[in-house]
Amino acid sequence: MLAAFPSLRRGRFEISSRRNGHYNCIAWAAGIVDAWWWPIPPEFVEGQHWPEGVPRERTLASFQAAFETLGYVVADDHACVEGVEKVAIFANADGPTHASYQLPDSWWTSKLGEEYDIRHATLEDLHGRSYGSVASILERCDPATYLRHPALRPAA
Amino acid sequence: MNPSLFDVPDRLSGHRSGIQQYLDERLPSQLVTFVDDVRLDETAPGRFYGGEQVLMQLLRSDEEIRQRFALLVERWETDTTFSSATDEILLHPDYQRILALGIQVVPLILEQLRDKPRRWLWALKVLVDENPAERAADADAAVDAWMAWGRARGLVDG
Repeated sequence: MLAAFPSLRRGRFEISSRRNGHYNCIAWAAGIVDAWWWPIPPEFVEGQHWPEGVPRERTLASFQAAFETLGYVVADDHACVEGVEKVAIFANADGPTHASYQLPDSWWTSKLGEEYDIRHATLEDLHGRSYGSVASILERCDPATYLRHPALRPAA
Repeated sequence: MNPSLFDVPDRLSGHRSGIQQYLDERLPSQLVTFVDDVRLDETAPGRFYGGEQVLMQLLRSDEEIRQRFALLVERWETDTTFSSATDEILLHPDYQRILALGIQVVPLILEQLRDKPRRWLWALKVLVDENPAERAADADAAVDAWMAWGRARGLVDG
């Protein structure tokens, strides 16, 4: 993992789940643990969830729109604010690559492909060749969803 | 262009060296005329709709295929294990090289299917040109359907 994310060498992080190939980073940021969210056309490959009505294209606008279906809006920054959930979308030259979800203690949680979830102190910890860098921050302020993310549930 | 069809005699079915000799004797001049539609004919064991690639792969030994498959999988997984991008995973050059090995890798893929279903379901559908998991509700059900398909054809144990 440190080879793929060299910035983690100087950052603070911990592995926070077992390996699980049933969901990916986008689903995890959305609070979903039983689906693989990626905007690939169903005629190309099945089993890829993408919110109804959102274009299945690998663009930042499509990824933002996917989270907007959950009540998120584009935010100004990633500062941690009580009562506000934030999601960071990463992108490289190919388009969006990854999403992280901010925890109430200001750390972030990320699902790494088919591997495990990690908690990491900063978004820069995942910057690099694999995920590129942060391209957009979104936020949601909804008492019905705040503190309900699966990352906050006690470990089974 | 319709797929070219050739039959392997029943007595040779399952015997790679016999098939190789049979092809060497009868088909070398036709190799370049086959299209790349690669699939088993389910109604006639031992019969293939074949492309040039199938014929080439038939000439490789099981061990050569297994070693090549293992090498490609290792490189592919190293490159993509932290990726969520399905398009990157499936269009990775080593994944495409695995598909190019043809139908002989189907048993090897079935061995790995339970562990990483999302990585292999698409390959199976492409390689055998059918999808027994078409009506599966989720990835687990799709794996079950493919494993049943493989067992029915003697491609996986149990």
